Amino acid sequence: MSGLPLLEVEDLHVTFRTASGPVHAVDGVSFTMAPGASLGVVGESGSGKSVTARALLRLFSITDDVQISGAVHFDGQDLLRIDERRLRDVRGGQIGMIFQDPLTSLNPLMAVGEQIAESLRLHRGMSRSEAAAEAVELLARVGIADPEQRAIELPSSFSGGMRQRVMISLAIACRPRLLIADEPTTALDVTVQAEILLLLDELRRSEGMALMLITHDFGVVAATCEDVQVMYAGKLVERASMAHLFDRANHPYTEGLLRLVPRFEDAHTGRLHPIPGQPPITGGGGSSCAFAPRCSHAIDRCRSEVPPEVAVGPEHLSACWLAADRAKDTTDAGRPWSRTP
Amino acid sequence: MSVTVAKRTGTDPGRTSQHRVWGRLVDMLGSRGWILLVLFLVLLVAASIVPDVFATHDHDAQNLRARLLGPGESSSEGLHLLGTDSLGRDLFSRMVVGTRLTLFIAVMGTLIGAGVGVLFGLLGGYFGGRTDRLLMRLGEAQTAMPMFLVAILLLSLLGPSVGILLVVLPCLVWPIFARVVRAEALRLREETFIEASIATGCSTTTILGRHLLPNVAPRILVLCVVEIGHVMLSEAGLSFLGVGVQPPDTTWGLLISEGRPLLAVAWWLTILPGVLLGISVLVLNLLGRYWEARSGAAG
Amino acid sequence: MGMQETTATTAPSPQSRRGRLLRRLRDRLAAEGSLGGLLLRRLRDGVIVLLLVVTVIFFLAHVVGNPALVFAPVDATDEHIAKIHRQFGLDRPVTERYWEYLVDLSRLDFGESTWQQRPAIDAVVEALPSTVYLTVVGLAAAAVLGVVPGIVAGARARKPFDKASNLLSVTALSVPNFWLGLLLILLLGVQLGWLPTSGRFETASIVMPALTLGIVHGGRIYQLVRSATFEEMSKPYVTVARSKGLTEWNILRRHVVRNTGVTTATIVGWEYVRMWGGAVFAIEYVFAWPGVGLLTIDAAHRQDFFVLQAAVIIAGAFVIFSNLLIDMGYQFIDRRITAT
Repeated sequence: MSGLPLLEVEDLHVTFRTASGPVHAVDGVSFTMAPGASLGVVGESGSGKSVTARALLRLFSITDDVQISGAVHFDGQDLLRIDERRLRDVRGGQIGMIFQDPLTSLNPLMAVGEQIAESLRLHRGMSRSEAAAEAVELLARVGIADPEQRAIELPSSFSGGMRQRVMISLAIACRPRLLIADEPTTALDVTVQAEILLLLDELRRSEGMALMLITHDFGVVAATCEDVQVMYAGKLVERASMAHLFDRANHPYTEGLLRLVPRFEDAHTGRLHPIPGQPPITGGGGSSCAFAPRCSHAIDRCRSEVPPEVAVGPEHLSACWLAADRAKDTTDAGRPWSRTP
Repeated sequence: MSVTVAKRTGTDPGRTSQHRVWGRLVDMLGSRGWILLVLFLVLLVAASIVPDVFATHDHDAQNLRARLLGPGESSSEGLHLLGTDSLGRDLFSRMVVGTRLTLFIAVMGTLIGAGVGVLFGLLGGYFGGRTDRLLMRLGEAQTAMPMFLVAILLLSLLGPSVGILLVVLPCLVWPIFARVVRAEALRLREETFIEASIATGCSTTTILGRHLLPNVAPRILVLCVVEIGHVMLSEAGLSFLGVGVQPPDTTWGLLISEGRPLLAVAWWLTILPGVLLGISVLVLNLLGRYWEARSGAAG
Repeated sequence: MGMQETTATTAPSPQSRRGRLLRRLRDRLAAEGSLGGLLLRRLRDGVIVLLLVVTVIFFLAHVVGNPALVFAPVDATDEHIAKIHRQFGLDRPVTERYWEYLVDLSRLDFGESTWQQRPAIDAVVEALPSTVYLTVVGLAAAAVLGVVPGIVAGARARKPFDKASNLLSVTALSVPNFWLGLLLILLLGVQLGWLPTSGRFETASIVMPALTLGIVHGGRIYQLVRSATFEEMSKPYVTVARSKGLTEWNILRRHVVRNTGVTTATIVGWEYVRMWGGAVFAIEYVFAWPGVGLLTIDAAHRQDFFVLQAAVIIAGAFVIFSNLLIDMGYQFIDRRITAT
């Protein structure tokens, strides 16, 4: 990462106020992204990775009661503090977003072309006919055959994969500088997944956008991202370049996640390696490493103090009390896991 | 959606803290407000059990020299809190005395309706098939009929009386209970523990009584609270139209009816009993909502 | 009157009770077979319902009560009653009389009004248009009062407007509707003298009864529209629309309302049927509006059984028919939308 960052998140906290008390979904997360970078954010459900992404644009459901603190610097402004009107310019205009479920992400009663054109007219000031023509272009761009005809159809006549393509065309319509994809392939068939990931990667390169890919699946990150950060219980526990991490995962949690990626060698034994225990429901507020209860390496200190992020290699951070020791081990022993999508 | 972004610097403008105080007040009213509602109901029940404690005057004592006194005016008999009617009778005392019959009809009407509805709902939901279809169609049939006209017809055929009201009013509410119980019974029928009870040889009545009923009881109770309010409104309507409770018995609905000819000269006779009736139904509605929200959050 | 106003008035949050009601609405309207088949089935159900009501009325009039007393005017002498007894052939077996009764009804012969000295059906048919007029204007008022605030409240759930309007609507549903009418008479008629308070003698006569109906039924329309809007606002595509940078107003206008439109129309349609379930009749009485309600209540006070019976059956048939039309309309629109 060099030059001026495109996105700089500083000590982000997100708290949901619920009937059963506050839930700290994101607990002091900081990171940066360079223009055109590709960052994978990995974690189990409930780790706060989606909430982090939504907090950047203050996008929550109408039932949510949310409190955010920290700062999100994007293009010289703090997204958490600009007014609604300027935030709307950023939404869709500067930052595009793709969501998990392509089946419910599109308005069922509006032609897909119209849904794309809506963005174009809003952010790029296009006339009705210009926007319609551009929407058709965009549909073609994401690989939808017969785009003129498809543009006037309702989402119900598209398959899941096709709808996700529509969603992507919608998100990139205004040439955003950052594209956030929140579990974009989770709801799709495996073969379609690969196509969508390829498309995202290709678009990122050709449009020069930065891509933040949120997923629970290391395989997805490996295929698309240069950098990766791992979240657990609302905190970042490890970050590194993808290549580096696969070889030298430092944090025990990352190690556990990597072991979850089914490998060819295990095919004959049929053995998977789940991480024992459940992730905590609420993160934050504690005075221990949140992963300690599930960690086989945990020492007393893990249960009494929150581990800080320490550098364990070039641009490689890990939040673990044993990080330094483990860094040595991993360098010595090496890791057999190869970089397979 | 409510998104609050914390200020970067520690200094908090006064507005925020004011907001917080206000918010806490509202939260407290929200979480403790039900006590006020229950208190109101307790007062109503007390007034219906021992009206003499509450009534300031003999509700039937006529005083022609104190006719149509407005609220707050006094006569030789003392202060008339809510005024007097055309015979000089104290309105407040009449409302207190009317509480008993108003509540009695509403509660009994609801309970009878709930009983019938629960029974039909359990039968339909548990046995399914033809029984179910028949019972549900009966309920549907009612919703499609102008039941209020039917009620007027029945009451004028059989002669208006409290007894007949307790036949007519339950007819209006049973389908609601039946529907809730049936849905719950259908859901429970699929559950493993019911299957297990059948497997271990429990009789149908045991299963219905021991397993289904306790499961639906909380929702039935909440529904009862709300429906008491609705039955109260129905009774008031029928009494207002002259086919419900007959004088010398008194309910709030009948008081409204009696005051109606004097609306232009003595508004209190019509408006005040209606206010009491409206508040009572509102309290029951809010309480029902509150309890349902609580049980919804718990389950 | 609150007789039928029992299902939707109360719920803690938009998801629970009214949510269930909405779901039931949808279940009931879920596509089942062809439109023609559905129409026939609903017609058959309607006829069964009417038959049931007619049978109950007959049973009560002829078996439980003394029919001669029922049919006689209030001031009838013993001789008069004996005469009626012979006149109606009340000494014959019940089954025979029941059959005859059904045959008469199928010929639209509802008997002779003892009070108006003319066929009961004439009195009812004369009053019916007034009631239809009042219910239609009342429904329009209810739609205006219920739909727009409902949409706004649903879109801004838990904000001050939502809380305030919600409380207001629950209050509107909690006060007796006839009392609300009397209150309006007192304020707008007696105190301010703006509007006529009774009868149907001038154009403005409709305003107060229709307004009363509108407030009461608008309250429930509000509640249902609010929860439908709220439910729609919680859907992922709304978040997507927000991520595109649309204003809340445009999200509501361009996306949400388009999706809740059919539901809203159906809610309003159903409210029309509910109106016939109670409120309108008491309100007619309050405002001396010369409709079926006023006729029925007058007939009840005069013990005019035949008019009562005719009113119930004809109003019942009308409601069943309206219900049918509304459901068919919904089915038609819904199928066209899902087909495209």
